[in-house]
Amino acid sequence: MKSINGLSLKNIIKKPVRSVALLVIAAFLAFSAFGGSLMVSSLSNGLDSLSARLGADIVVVPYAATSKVSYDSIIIQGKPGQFYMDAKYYDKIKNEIEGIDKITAQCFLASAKASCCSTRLQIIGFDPKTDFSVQPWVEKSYSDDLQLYDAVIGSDVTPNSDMTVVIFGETLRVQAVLDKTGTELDSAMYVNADTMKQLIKAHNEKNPNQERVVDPDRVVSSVLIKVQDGYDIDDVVGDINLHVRQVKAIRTQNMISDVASSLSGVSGMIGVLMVLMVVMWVLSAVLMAVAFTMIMNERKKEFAVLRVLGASRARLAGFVFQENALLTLAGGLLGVLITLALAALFAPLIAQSIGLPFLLPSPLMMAAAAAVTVLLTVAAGALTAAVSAYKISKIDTGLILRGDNG
Amino acid sequence: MKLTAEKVSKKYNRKTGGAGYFYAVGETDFALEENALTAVFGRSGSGKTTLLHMLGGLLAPDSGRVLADGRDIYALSDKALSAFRNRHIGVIPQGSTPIASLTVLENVLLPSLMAGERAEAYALELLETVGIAALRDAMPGELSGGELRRMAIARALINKPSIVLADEPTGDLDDENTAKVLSLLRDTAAGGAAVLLVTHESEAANYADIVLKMDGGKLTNTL
Repeated sequence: MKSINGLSLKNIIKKPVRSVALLVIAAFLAFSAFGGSLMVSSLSNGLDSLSARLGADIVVVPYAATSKVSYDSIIIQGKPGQFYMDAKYYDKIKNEIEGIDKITAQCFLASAKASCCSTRLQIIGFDPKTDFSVQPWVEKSYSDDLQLYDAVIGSDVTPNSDMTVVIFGETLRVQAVLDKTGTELDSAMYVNADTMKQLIKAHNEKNPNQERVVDPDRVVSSVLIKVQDGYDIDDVVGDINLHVRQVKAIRTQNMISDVASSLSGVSGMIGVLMVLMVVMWVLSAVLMAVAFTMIMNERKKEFAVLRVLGASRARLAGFVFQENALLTLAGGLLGVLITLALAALFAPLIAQSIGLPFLLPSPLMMAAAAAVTVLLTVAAGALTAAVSAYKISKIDTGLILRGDNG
Repeated sequence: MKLTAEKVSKKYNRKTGGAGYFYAVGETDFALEENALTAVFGRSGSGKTTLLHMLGGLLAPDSGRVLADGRDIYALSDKALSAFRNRHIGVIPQGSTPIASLTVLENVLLPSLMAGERAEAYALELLETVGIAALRDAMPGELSGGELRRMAIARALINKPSIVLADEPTGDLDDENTAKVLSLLRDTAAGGAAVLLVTHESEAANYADIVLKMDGGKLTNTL
């Protein structure tokens, strides 16, 4: 030991059991705080991303689809499936309903098995001229206009080595791969309306015996609407349902809530998680404070000896703070790293189980949350210990030594 | 440096029965002379350790003052009193008092490190003097009670204090080591320090310049 500053490190190294115990408690405290906040923000991000990705206030689907297929899962989550309605309904809504700011149509086609994938693949066709739902999202990966036979694919779709995908005998050029969402959207493919028409034609040719032949030039699967400011979304929904037959208009928020085991349910879950996180953090902090205080009491005699040798109260508190700050810093960092590792491992599983994207915050946000977590851990542990040691040092040293002497 | 106590007293609360408190040290005047080894004898519980702690700035008296060269040490701030103790008072507490995470040498060096120095050569010399130089790199857990006591003596002397307060320093030692430690304290006093030795071992009287007795919290100069 070259200087008195080395005392803290010596205390840590030479008392491994005590040090490891405190480090584990600090790691648990950091894990509960960081893990909880990561869980809550990732779920919130997931919910936000669903709404934001769709970008629409209202979705209109063929009325028949509402009783036959899980139209909401198809639209929101990209589950393979298809339904169609006459394109005239799109025109009717566009021309006759008031309060529409933006309107676009989408067309769905589920492949039985493409050359690229072992499972079914959902193909989503959109009109680049009117689209406000898919392109803002796709543009993060591909900013040019999609041409005929161009496709943008989800992260789970594996293209051929020449970056093509073959669907119903048609070869599509893969222009970009989207970021992972943790949902079935990762197995979806996006094409423009012209490509979609070619694919539906190819599908018809491959399936000549299908019950209902779809005319690719006359159908859409869904109509997405952004309501003008000043108009009530529910009023527009009611207007469409009243004036346009054979279709059903649904408020997007209600649709998401149905899909994601109810939006309010997930929101409730987030609330419960937040409460749990606070409770866990408080319990861990109390556990840590108790552990540190107990250890400080155990070390009364050691502190008394340091006082005998000339350590002032402030210096003694400084020794203890330094020692415990090193431990809680290491424990806090360990807890943060464990949380990150677990989040990376289990994020897809969580997304699958709750039917929502589990979107981790940005690296910057995570770094900030990690820094705050570590600071809180150090504050909870090292400050408790230092204050406890300072309080002990306020007892006359002679009394502590006398107590020891019996 | 001359250390004096003016009418110091200390009472402790009783845990059970009787009066609410008792006087460990009644109102007492005391002067610790430079260049002298003062031995205070007394049974266990006679108040001699309490007196030593009050003199060392470790236990504030309920009444009276402790003066170092005329300056009331309990009027100093905690920081100033701690620095004063570190520089001028070497305390050898009763019992085993090592810092368990430090080696023997590091334990002895600790007061000098607190003072911002690293008196390694002198520490080794002191370890040689107390007969545990070979154990310089040993951890306290590897030492016997007697060896720990000798380490505490070396530690108390590392900053060459002008006042040495030794509380039963020969408690766990055999005759040979007892003689060594008492000789060391004797030499320290001869070197100019004011040395206080509180003990119940009568052999210490042979090394003392001044012999006092403590009984029931009262200090007398008769054995």
